[in-house]
Amino acid sequence: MTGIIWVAGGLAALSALGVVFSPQPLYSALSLVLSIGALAVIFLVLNAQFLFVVQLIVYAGAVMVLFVFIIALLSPDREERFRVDARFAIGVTFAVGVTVAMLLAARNGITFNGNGFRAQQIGQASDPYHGFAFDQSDNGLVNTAGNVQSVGGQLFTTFLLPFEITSMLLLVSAIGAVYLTRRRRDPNAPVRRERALAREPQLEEDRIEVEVR
Amino acid sequence: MTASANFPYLLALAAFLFSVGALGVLIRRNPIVVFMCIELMLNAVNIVFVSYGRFLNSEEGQVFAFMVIVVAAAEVVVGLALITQVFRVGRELDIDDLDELNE
Amino acid sequence: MLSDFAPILVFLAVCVAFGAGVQALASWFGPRRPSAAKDLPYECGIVPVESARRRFSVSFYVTAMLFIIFDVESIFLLPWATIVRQLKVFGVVEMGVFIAALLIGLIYVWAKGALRWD
Repeated sequence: MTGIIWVAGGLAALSALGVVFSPQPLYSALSLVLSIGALAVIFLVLNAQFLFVVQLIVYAGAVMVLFVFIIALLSPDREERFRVDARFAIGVTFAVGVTVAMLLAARNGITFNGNGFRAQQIGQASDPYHGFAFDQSDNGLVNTAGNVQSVGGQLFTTFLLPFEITSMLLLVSAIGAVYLTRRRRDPNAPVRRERALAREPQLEEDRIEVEVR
Repeated sequence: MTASANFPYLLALAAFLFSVGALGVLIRRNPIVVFMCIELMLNAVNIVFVSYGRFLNSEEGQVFAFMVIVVAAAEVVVGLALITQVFRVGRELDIDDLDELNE
Repeated sequence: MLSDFAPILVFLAVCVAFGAGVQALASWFGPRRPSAAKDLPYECGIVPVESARRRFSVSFYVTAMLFIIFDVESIFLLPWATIVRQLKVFGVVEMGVFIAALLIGLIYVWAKGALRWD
């Protein structure tokens, strides 16, 4: 179980680097699929079977298909230069700093008790991680009724209001996306097409796909 | 086998994914890839939710992570539709060029 | 528990081993006589005329987007279906409200013609 977490976590971290540093958007998307799959495995190890399924169906199945479609729609072959400026330096410093700090904290042990979290130095306790012992004797409260049932029970009773608001959110996003992408005849469309054709004359033959609907 | 030692390392993994996603938002020019990096950051938060839920023996972390996934799906739908609209206005796909709202 | 998922792991391992094994066997034992015609992408015998890297129609995007919305809706139905007996009438009513809201979206999408393909 520990080995699975390490392998999947390492895979997720490597493919996250792939998302950020691939020059082609399509490679970024495929790296993100790998990262999402590795995180789904971590969810499975953490007794979140329902989230494992949701992660695979919604993220890897649906959201990433949308990403791939939009890449095929907008930028079929496009390499990209990264920004190398102050933002790059700030971002790299932030990422390295946060990661190193968290790894050091994890190695030195952070314990949790009734007073909250507290960092502990190595050697103070015989087992600095005793506070983190996952309940191994049984599957814990999470799985007494089965994971899908217990998550659903929380979702449909305690979190009833967020659940109903989610329906409104989905409604708004469906309407908004259809409104934004529907074909319309606005007066400046031909001008726009001519501008695109002037920029890239080879677009003439597949003009139907380029023109604004 | 003690999985106990893994919990702080999971938090470290989440911190790594979050900060790498933030780095991608900073340095990438393509708005589609910027969206992917935001997805990466949301996934990092989901790890924290789920591992804390496991650690505290409560399923509420999983419910929150589920909500995050659903909201992220809705966000992607609208965000990518916006990107198609911006592209149709006839510009290159570069986030630095999208500063027209400033003016 | 986690060991219940061991068959999936075995299944994955068998899939990867089978795929890699067949490829490796084919590359070891198969004859290899490359020619220009063999490197062309096969399109029902028709010679391809232009690059495959061309822009897609936006209809694909609209369809994928609607798929996500209703995919998420059906994901909500899964945990609901497992505990609907315990929730009784309350559960039916809350899911009714949820589906009614998304039905409004479906009617709007239908009326706007986003479900038509052309």
